[in-house]
Amino acid sequence: MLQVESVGKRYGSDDGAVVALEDVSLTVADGEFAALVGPSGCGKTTLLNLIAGLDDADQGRIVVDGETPAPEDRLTRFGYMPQQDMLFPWRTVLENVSLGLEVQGFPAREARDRAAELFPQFGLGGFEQRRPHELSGGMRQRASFLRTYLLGRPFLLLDEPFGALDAITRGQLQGWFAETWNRIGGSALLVTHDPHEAVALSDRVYVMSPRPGRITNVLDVDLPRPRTARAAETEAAHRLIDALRHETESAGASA
Amino acid sequence: MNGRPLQRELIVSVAAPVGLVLVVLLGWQAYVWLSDIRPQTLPGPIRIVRESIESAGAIWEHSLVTMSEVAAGFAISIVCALALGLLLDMSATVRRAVYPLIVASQAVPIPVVAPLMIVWFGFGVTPKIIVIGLFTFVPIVLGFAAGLAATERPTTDLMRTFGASRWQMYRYVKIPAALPDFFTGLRIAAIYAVLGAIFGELAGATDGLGIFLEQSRLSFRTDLVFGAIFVVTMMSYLLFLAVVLLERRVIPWRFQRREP
Repeated sequence: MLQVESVGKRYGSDDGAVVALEDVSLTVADGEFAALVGPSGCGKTTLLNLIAGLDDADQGRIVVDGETPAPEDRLTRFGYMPQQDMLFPWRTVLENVSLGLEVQGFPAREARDRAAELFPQFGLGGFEQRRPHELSGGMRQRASFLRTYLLGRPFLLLDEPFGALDAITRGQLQGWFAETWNRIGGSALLVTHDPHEAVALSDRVYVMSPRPGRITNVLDVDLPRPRTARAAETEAAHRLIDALRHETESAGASA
Repeated sequence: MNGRPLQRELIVSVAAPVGLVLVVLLGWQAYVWLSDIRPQTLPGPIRIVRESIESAGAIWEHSLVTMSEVAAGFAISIVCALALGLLLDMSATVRRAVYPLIVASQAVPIPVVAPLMIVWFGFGVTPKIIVIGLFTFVPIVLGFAAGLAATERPTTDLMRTFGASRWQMYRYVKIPAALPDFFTGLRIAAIYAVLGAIFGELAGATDGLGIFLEQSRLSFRTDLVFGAIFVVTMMSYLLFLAVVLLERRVIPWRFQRREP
């Protein structure tokens, strides 16, 4: 269970300070998939980094499972997936995917064995010994997601995981992700600027507006689970997406 | 480049420099024959090759001395540069204190300082190693430190969420990521390493190509001076080539295409 309570963050000195976040509160229950939607520059990645413990909030509290851990203690509480795939060219795909386990202290051999087991499930079978540049953009994101998943942390923070892909690949990957999520489960907070993506994957959507970044609305997505790749193609889903699109557009315009 | 681009490119890249050298050598030899200039002033290429082969034994002996100095000096320089590069990256205080000194050290007129080294350290191998270090240390440190500093925030953020310690950050990300810049510095340093050894020897030594050069000059054996210069050049070139080959072995990923 994650509770963000009245969190604020500003950058710069007192005079020229930019308020990145103001009085942001949200809750993600265990087993819930939440999305944070807003135009670019609204502070959603800033909020995700605060939760992940990569940065310190100026105001408010971040409560994880009833505790209030310091930022450096939050670093290893969440599975964090960055926007870019961050696969290192000096490592094979398998060595990249198992890097998180290796850093956590698993012997390299064991880390690789554990990662290799999941390669077929993640559509990466046969690419273990390739270099990242030999993979398509979609495969690289799947490898990046597998690396995050392997950390074994029950709560995932996903920062626009499909943001850097072309429209067709993004659509395919969203479908794949929805079906994979049915199997692996857990809790997640997804940052995205795409209303369709938010509705297709999440149970609840928080809408953010920029300058200063704040939550302007919350929408419940009562689409049935388990979700299929085409979960967002129903009429109910389209109504939600339209409402959300309207929300985010007005949120962007008000800035 | 149309038609057969690869073949054409290969011919041009090999034939052009070889052809140019041949033309220069031919012109040089023709001038020596026609002008009747004294070989002490300017020997022709044929004489240089003939006399150098005659003295090949001596040149080889002196080359071995110079090569061992280069090997020791370059190796020590690399180790020190790697250590200092890490220190510069880890501590802002060290960086502020040492960086201006590194830059200033490049302004030191090394040929003038080299004789002082002889005064301090004698005629042994130590002053040569130091002079080679002065020539090669800075490009390696600057390259390596720049590479370490280039690791971007998102990369270190990801490693932090893995729970990476400072040492793991260097081992898994910063050092591998810095290798391309390190090798760029190393290539520049390789060009200067042999030159450093020659300067060190000229300041005072009993053996080495620098000494052979000096002795040949003083005894008006201009042909052997040219021969020795050729060997020095080849030595630098081979060291450079060795670094390039090493680079391709150590960081093959650098030479692969980034996008499929």
